[in-house]
Amino acid sequence: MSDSDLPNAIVNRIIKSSLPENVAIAKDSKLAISKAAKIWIHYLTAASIDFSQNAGRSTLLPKDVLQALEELDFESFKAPLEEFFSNYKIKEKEKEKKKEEEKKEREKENKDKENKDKDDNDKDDDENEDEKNNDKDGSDDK
Amino acid sequence: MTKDDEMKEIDNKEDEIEDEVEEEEEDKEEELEDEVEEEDEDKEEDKEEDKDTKDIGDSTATTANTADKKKKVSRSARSHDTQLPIARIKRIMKNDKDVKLISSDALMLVTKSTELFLDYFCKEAYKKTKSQGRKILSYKDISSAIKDIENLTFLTEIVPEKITMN
Repeated sequence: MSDSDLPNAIVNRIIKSSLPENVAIAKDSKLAISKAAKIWIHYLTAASIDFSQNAGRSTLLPKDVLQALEELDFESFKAPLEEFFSNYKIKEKEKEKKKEEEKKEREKENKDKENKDKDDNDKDDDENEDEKNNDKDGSDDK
Repeated sequence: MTKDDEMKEIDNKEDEIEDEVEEEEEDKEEELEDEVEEEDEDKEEDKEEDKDTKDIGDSTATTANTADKKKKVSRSARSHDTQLPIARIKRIMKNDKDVKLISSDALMLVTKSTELFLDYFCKEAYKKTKSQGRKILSYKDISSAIKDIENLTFLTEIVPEKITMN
Protein backbone atom coordinates (compact mmCIF):
# COMPACT_ATOMS: atom_id res chain seq x y z
CA MET A 1 0.00 0.00 0.00
CA SER A 2 1.24 3.43 -0.88
CA ASP A 3 1.48 6.11 1.77
CA SER A 4 -1.63 8.26 1.84
CA ASP A 5 -1.25 12.02 1.71
CA LEU A 6 -2.90 14.70 3.75
CA PRO A 7 -5.94 16.34 2.11
CA ASN A 8 -4.66 19.28 0.06
CA ALA A 9 -7.67 21.49 0.56
CA ILE A 10 -7.50 21.38 4.34
CA VAL A 11 -3.71 21.81 4.39
CA ASN A 12 -4.02 24.83 2.09
CA ARG A 13 -6.65 26.31 4.37
CA ILE A 14 -4.32 25.97 7.37
CA ILE A 15 -1.39 27.45 5.42
CA LYS A 16 -3.48 30.44 4.38
CA SER A 17 -4.78 31.06 7.87
CA SER A 18 -1.23 31.12 9.29
CA LEU A 19 0.08 33.68 6.79
CA PRO A 20 -0.86 37.34 6.32
CA GLU A 21 -3.57 37.91 3.74
CA ASN A 22 -1.50 39.58 1.04
CA VAL A 23 0.99 36.71 0.78
CA ALA A 24 0.77 34.26 -2.11
CA ILE A 25 2.13 30.73 -2.00
CA ALA A 26 3.85 29.04 -4.93
CA LYS A 27 2.48 25.68 -5.98
CA ASP A 28 5.69 23.77 -5.20
CA SER A 29 5.78 25.41 -1.76
CA LYS A 30 2.33 24.05 -0.96
CA LEU A 31 3.39 20.59 -2.01
CA ALA A 32 6.59 20.80 0.04
CA ILE A 33 4.71 21.98 3.13
CA SER A 34 2.13 19.20 2.81
CA LYS A 35 4.84 16.56 2.40
CA ALA A 36 6.72 18.02 5.36
CA ALA A 37 3.61 17.72 7.51
CA LYS A 38 3.29 14.07 6.58
CA ILE A 39 6.91 13.43 7.49
CA TRP A 40 6.25 15.27 10.73
CA ILE A 41 3.54 12.75 11.60
CA HIS A 42 5.93 9.87 10.94
CA TYR A 43 8.72 11.60 12.87
CA LEU A 44 6.55 12.33 15.89
CA THR A 45 5.00 8.86 15.81
CA ALA A 46 8.38 7.15 15.72
CA ALA A 47 9.67 9.23 18.63
CA SER A 48 6.48 8.57 20.63
CA ILE A 49 6.74 4.84 20.04
CA ASP A 50 10.22 4.82 21.53
CA PHE A 51 8.75 6.11 24.77
CA SER A 52 5.88 3.61 24.84
CA GLN A 53 8.25 0.72 24.05
CA ASN A 54 10.67 1.80 26.77
CA ALA A 55 7.76 1.67 29.20
CA GLY A 56 6.84 -1.82 27.95
CA ARG A 57 3.52 -0.76 26.49
CA SER A 58 2.10 -1.62 23.08
CA THR A 59 -0.39 1.27 23.12
CA LEU A 60 0.58 4.80 22.22
CA LEU A 61 -0.60 7.15 24.97
CA PRO A 62 -0.90 10.96 25.14
CA LYS A 63 2.04 11.21 27.53
CA ASP A 64 4.28 9.47 24.98
CA VAL A 65 3.39 12.10 22.41
CA LEU A 66 4.08 14.93 24.86
CA GLN A 67 7.43 13.44 25.87
CA ALA A 68 8.32 12.98 22.21
CA LEU A 69 7.56 16.63 21.48
CA GLU A 70 9.98 17.60 24.19
CA GLU A 71 12.69 15.34 22.87
CA LEU A 72 12.28 16.62 19.32
CA ASP A 73 12.81 20.18 20.55
CA PHE A 74 9.22 21.32 20.03
CA GLU A 75 8.44 22.29 23.62
CA SER A 76 6.61 25.35 22.31
CA PHE A 77 3.81 23.06 21.12
CA LYS A 78 3.19 21.60 24.54
CA ALA A 79 1.32 24.49 26.14
CA PRO A 80 -1.23 25.00 23.31
CA LEU A 81 -1.60 21.22 22.98
CA GLU A 82 -2.32 20.70 26.64
CA GLU A 83 -4.84 23.53 26.58
CA PHE A 84 -6.52 22.01 23.54
CA PHE A 85 -6.49 18.60 25.18
CA SER A 86 -8.18 19.70 28.37
CA ASN A 87 -10.85 21.52 26.36
CA TYR A 88 -11.30 18.41 24.27
CA LYS A 89 -11.70 16.27 27.39
CA ILE A 90 -14.38 18.57 28.75
CA LYS A 91 -16.24 18.34 25.46
CA GLU A 92 -15.94 14.55 25.48
CA LYS A 93 -17.48 14.35 28.94
CA GLU A 94 -20.39 16.52 27.85
CA LYS A 95 -20.90 14.31 24.82
CA GLU A 96 -20.90 11.18 26.98
CA LYS A 97 -23.50 12.72 29.25
CA LYS A 98 -25.67 13.57 26.25
CA LYS A 99 -25.30 10.05 24.87
CA GLU A 100 -26.35 8.52 28.17
CA GLU A 101 -29.38 10.77 28.29
CA GLU A 102 -30.27 9.77 24.76
CA LYS A 103 -29.93 6.11 25.68
CA LYS A 104 -32.22 6.54 28.65
CA GLU A 105 -34.77 8.30 26.47
CA ARG A 106 -34.61 5.49 23.94
CA GLU A 107 -35.03 2.85 26.61
CA LYS A 108 -38.05 4.69 27.92
CA GLU A 109 -39.55 4.88 24.45
CA ASN A 110 -38.92 1.20 23.86
CA LYS A 111 -40.53 0.30 27.16
CA ASP A 112 -43.58 2.36 26.30
CA LYS A 113 -43.82 0.58 22.99
CA GLU A 114 -43.47 -2.85 24.57
CA ASN A 115 -46.29 -2.04 26.92
CA LYS A 116 -48.43 -0.92 24.02
CA ASP A 117 -47.70 -4.11 22.10
CA LYS A 118 -48.69 -6.22 25.09
CA ASP A 119 -51.93 -4.31 25.43
CA ASP A 120 -52.62 -4.72 21.73
CA ASN A 121 -52.14 -8.46 21.88
CA ASP A 122 -54.57 -8.80 24.75
CA LYS A 123 -57.41 -7.16 22.86
CA ASP A 124 -59.57 -8.70 20.14
CA ASP A 125 -58.95 -7.62 16.53
CA ASP A 126 -62.27 -5.81 16.29
CA GLU A 127 -61.54 -3.67 19.31
CA ASN A 128 -57.94 -2.85 18.29
CA GLU A 129 -58.54 0.59 16.78
CA ASP A 130 -60.39 1.92 19.76
CA GLU A 131 -57.76 0.57 22.13
CA LYS A 132 -54.91 2.19 20.20
CA ASN A 133 -56.42 5.61 20.71
CA ASN A 134 -56.74 4.93 24.40
CA ASP A 135 -53.10 3.83 24.54
CA LYS A 136 -51.94 7.01 22.91
CA ASP A 137 -53.79 9.06 25.46
CA GLY A 138 -52.23 6.96 28.17
CA SER A 139 -48.67 7.39 26.88
CA ASP A 140 -49.10 11.16 26.65
CA ASP A 141 -49.89 11.26 30.34
CA LYS A 142 -46.64 9.49 31.15
CA MET B 1 5.79 42.77 -11.03
CA THR B 2 7.57 40.31 -13.32
CA LYS B 3 5.81 37.95 -15.68
CA ASP B 4 6.86 35.04 -13.53
CA ASP B 5 5.11 36.49 -10.52
CA GLU B 6 1.95 37.17 -12.50
CA MET B 7 1.88 33.58 -13.65
CA LYS B 8 2.23 32.40 -10.09
CA GLU B 9 -0.67 34.56 -8.97
CA ILE B 10 -2.85 33.14 -11.72
CA ASP B 11 -1.79 29.67 -10.66
CA ASN B 12 -2.79 30.40 -7.11
CA LYS B 13 -6.21 31.66 -8.13
CA GLU B 14 -6.81 28.52 -10.15
CA ASP B 15 -5.75 26.51 -7.15
CA GLU B 16 -8.26 28.26 -4.98
CA ILE B 17 -11.13 27.35 -7.28
CA GLU B 18 -9.96 23.74 -7.50
CA ASP B 19 -9.55 23.61 -3.77
CA GLU B 20 -13.04 24.78 -3.02
CA VAL B 21 -14.49 21.91 -5.01
CA GLU B 22 -11.94 19.48 -3.62
CA GLU B 23 -12.57 20.70 -0.10
CA GLU B 24 -16.21 19.74 -0.22
CA GLU B 25 -15.41 16.33 -1.62
CA GLU B 26 -12.71 15.71 0.96
CA ASP B 27 -14.92 16.73 3.81
CA LYS B 28 -17.66 14.42 2.65
CA GLU B 29 -15.24 11.55 2.17
CA GLU B 30 -13.72 11.91 5.60
CA GLU B 31 -17.05 12.37 7.25
CA LEU B 32 -18.21 9.15 5.67
CA GLU B 33 -15.14 7.27 6.87
CA ASP B 34 -15.66 8.50 10.38
CA GLU B 35 -19.37 7.96 10.48
CA VAL B 36 -19.69 4.58 8.80
CA GLU B 37 -19.42 2.62 12.02
CA GLU B 38 -21.80 4.82 13.94
CA GLU B 39 -24.33 4.90 11.15
CA ASP B 40 -24.33 1.14 10.94
CA GLU B 41 -25.16 0.97 14.60
CA ASP B 42 -27.86 3.57 14.21
CA LYS B 43 -29.39 1.74 11.28
CA GLU B 44 -29.56 -1.49 13.22
CA GLU B 45 -31.27 0.27 16.05
CA ASP B 46 -33.67 1.95 13.66
CA LYS B 47 -34.54 -1.39 12.10
CA GLU B 48 -35.29 -2.88 15.47
CA GLU B 49 -37.46 0.06 16.30
CA ASP B 50 -39.32 -0.36 13.03
CA LYS B 51 -40.03 -3.99 13.77
CA ASP B 52 -41.32 -3.17 17.21
CA THR B 53 -43.59 -0.42 16.09
CA LYS B 54 -44.99 -1.33 12.70
CA ASP B 55 -48.49 -0.93 14.07
CA ILE B 56 -48.06 2.59 15.35
CA GLY B 57 -47.10 4.70 12.33
CA ASP B 58 -47.35 8.15 13.90
CA SER B 59 -45.00 7.61 16.80
CA THR B 60 -42.22 5.98 14.70
CA ALA B 61 -42.22 8.96 12.36
CA THR B 62 -41.62 11.35 15.23
CA THR B 63 -38.86 9.27 16.83
CA ALA B 64 -37.09 8.97 13.47
CA ASN B 65 -37.16 12.75 13.11
CA THR B 66 -35.65 13.38 16.50
CA ALA B 67 -32.94 10.79 15.85
CA ASP B 68 -32.01 12.57 12.61
CA LYS B 69 -31.72 15.87 14.40
CA LYS B 70 -29.49 14.39 17.07
CA LYS B 71 -27.18 12.92 14.42
CA LYS B 72 -26.75 16.28 12.73
CA VAL B 73 -25.89 17.95 16.00
CA SER B 74 -23.23 15.39 16.91
CA ARG B 75 -21.62 15.73 13.47
CA SER B 76 -21.24 19.47 13.56
CA ALA B 77 -19.91 19.34 17.12
CA ARG B 78 -17.24 16.85 16.16
CA SER B 79 -15.91 18.77 13.17
CA HIS B 80 -14.85 21.70 15.36
CA ASP B 81 -12.25 19.73 17.31
CA THR B 82 -9.58 19.50 14.63
CA GLN B 83 -9.34 20.71 11.08
CA LEU B 84 -7.39 17.74 9.77
CA PRO B 85 -9.24 14.44 9.34
CA ILE B 86 -8.43 12.07 12.20
CA ALA B 87 -8.96 8.93 10.13
CA ARG B 88 -6.33 10.07 7.64
CA ILE B 89 -3.78 10.84 10.35
CA LYS B 90 -4.34 7.40 11.83
CA ARG B 91 -3.76 5.78 8.46
CA ILE B 92 -0.47 7.65 8.04
CA MET B 93 0.62 6.66 11.55
CA LYS B 94 -0.26 3.02 10.90
CA ASN B 95 2.18 3.00 7.98
CA ASP B 96 4.88 2.75 10.62
CA LYS B 97 5.42 -0.94 11.26
CA ASP B 98 6.24 -0.39 14.94
CA VAL B 99 2.82 1.09 15.63
CA LYS B 100 0.56 -1.42 17.31
CA LEU B 101 -2.24 0.40 19.12
CA ILE B 102 -2.96 4.10 19.29
CA SER B 103 -5.14 5.51 22.05
CA SER B 104 -7.74 7.91 20.67
CA ASP B 105 -6.40 10.67 22.91
CA ALA B 106 -2.88 10.22 21.55
CA LEU B 107 -4.29 10.31 18.02
CA MET B 108 -6.05 13.54 18.86
CA LEU B 109 -2.77 15.03 20.11
CA VAL B 110 -0.85 14.00 17.00
CA THR B 111 -3.57 15.49 14.79
CA LYS B 112 -3.57 18.76 16.66
CA SER B 113 0.22 18.91 16.81
CA THR B 114 0.32 18.48 13.03
CA GLU B 115 -1.87 21.55 12.73
CA LEU B 116 0.46 23.43 15.07
CA PHE B 117 3.44 22.21 13.06
CA LEU B 118 1.93 23.45 9.79
CA ASP B 119 1.31 26.83 11.34
CA TYR B 120 4.83 27.03 12.81
CA PHE B 121 6.51 25.84 9.63
CA CYS B 122 4.66 28.33 7.41
CA LYS B 123 5.47 31.22 9.72
CA GLU B 124 9.18 30.32 9.79
CA ALA B 125 9.26 30.07 5.99
CA TYR B 126 7.40 33.36 5.68
CA LYS B 127 10.07 35.05 7.80
CA LYS B 128 12.51 34.20 4.99
CA THR B 129 10.14 35.59 2.36
CA LYS B 130 9.71 38.78 4.33
CA SER B 131 13.41 39.29 4.97
CA GLN B 132 13.95 39.37 1.21
CA GLY B 133 11.07 41.76 0.59
CA ARG B 134 9.07 39.33 -1.55
CA LYS B 135 5.37 38.58 -1.42
CA ILE B 136 5.29 35.02 -2.70
CA LEU B 137 6.33 32.20 -0.42
CA SER B 138 8.66 30.20 -2.64
CA TYR B 139 10.29 26.82 -2.34
CA LYS B 140 13.59 28.53 -1.59
CA ASP B 141 12.14 30.07 1.57
CA ILE B 142 11.06 26.67 2.81
CA SER B 143 14.36 24.95 2.15
CA SER B 144 16.36 27.77 3.71
CA ALA B 145 14.11 27.73 6.80
CA ILE B 146 14.78 24.02 7.15
CA LYS B 147 18.50 24.59 6.74
CA ASP B 148 18.68 27.37 9.33
CA ILE B 149 16.31 26.22 12.07
CA GLU B 150 17.61 23.46 14.26
CA ASN B 151 14.43 21.56 15.08
CA LEU B 152 13.43 21.39 11.40
CA THR B 153 16.57 19.58 10.28
CA PHE B 154 14.68 16.29 10.10
CA LEU B 155 13.17 17.62 6.87
CA THR B 156 16.43 18.24 5.00
CA GLU B 157 16.13 15.04 3.00
CA ILE B 158 12.49 15.60 2.13
CA VAL B 159 12.87 19.21 1.04
CA PRO B 160 16.36 19.46 -0.51
CA GLU B 161 17.79 22.76 -1.63
CA LYS B 162 17.35 23.51 -5.28
CA ILE B 163 20.57 23.29 -7.26
CA THR B 164 20.97 25.38 -10.38
CA MET B 165 23.10 23.88 -13.12
CA ASN B 166 25.47 26.25 -14.86
